[in-house]
Amino acid sequence: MDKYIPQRPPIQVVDKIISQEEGKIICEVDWPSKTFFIRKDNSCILPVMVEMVAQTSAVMLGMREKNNKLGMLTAVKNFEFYSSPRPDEKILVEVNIDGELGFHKIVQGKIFQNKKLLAKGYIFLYLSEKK
Amino acid sequence: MNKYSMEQDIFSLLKDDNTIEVPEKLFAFEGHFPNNPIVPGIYTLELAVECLAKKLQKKITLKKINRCKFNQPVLPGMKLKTKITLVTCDDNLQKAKIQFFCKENNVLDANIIVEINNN
Repeated sequence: MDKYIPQRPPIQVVDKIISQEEGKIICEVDWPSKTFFIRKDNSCILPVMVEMVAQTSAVMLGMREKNNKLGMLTAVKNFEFYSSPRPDEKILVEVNIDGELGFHKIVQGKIFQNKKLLAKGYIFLYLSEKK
Repeated sequence: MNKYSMEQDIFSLLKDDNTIEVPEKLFAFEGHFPNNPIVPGIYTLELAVECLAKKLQKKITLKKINRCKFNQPVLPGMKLKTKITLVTCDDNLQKAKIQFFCKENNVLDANIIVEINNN
């Protein structure tokens, strides 16, 4: 993952590419190891699911742009949280590019755990040149 | 369990008067990004939820982000003022608009729906 995204632990959440095709990718999150995002009362910090979609998108764009650009999260839209992840199972993050206008990308993301949909929504990314 | 959690970082950022002060050092900066510290979007979103919980003085669960714009990066040393506007509340679902400002600049503009937990 380090090849494609600039995030590092503890913020790096995406661990492995499961499948990828043009405009679509599925990545895995080893959720049991991501205790950084768990509160003292054992509840999950739910915005981490937005971060999962953002990083999965960045992996896809990093591969496509040959890692020359950096994806910046600029907006989130209609992102619904249906359920908290269970602490003991891996998570799959599926993203599709929904629209593109130059360096602006609209991405739809869905998050699953054991086939159960946990959250879905849209994020907006802006690709800038890497420093 | 990690020795350190994001929750601790969030509590260190959020002050009693619901303002936000970003220190020069934050655990998150180790990974976001090495040698280029920027407060992650996930932190800004969680701060918005925590500010709302503080205003309501209730425990809440994030249900939906209707719309959220990150207008500029949140950087070390920034001091942010927060503005929370309660919109409607139906069946324990509270809609709210949350804005963060650095000086006069709008840094975050978010419309969210949270569930008020009665337990």
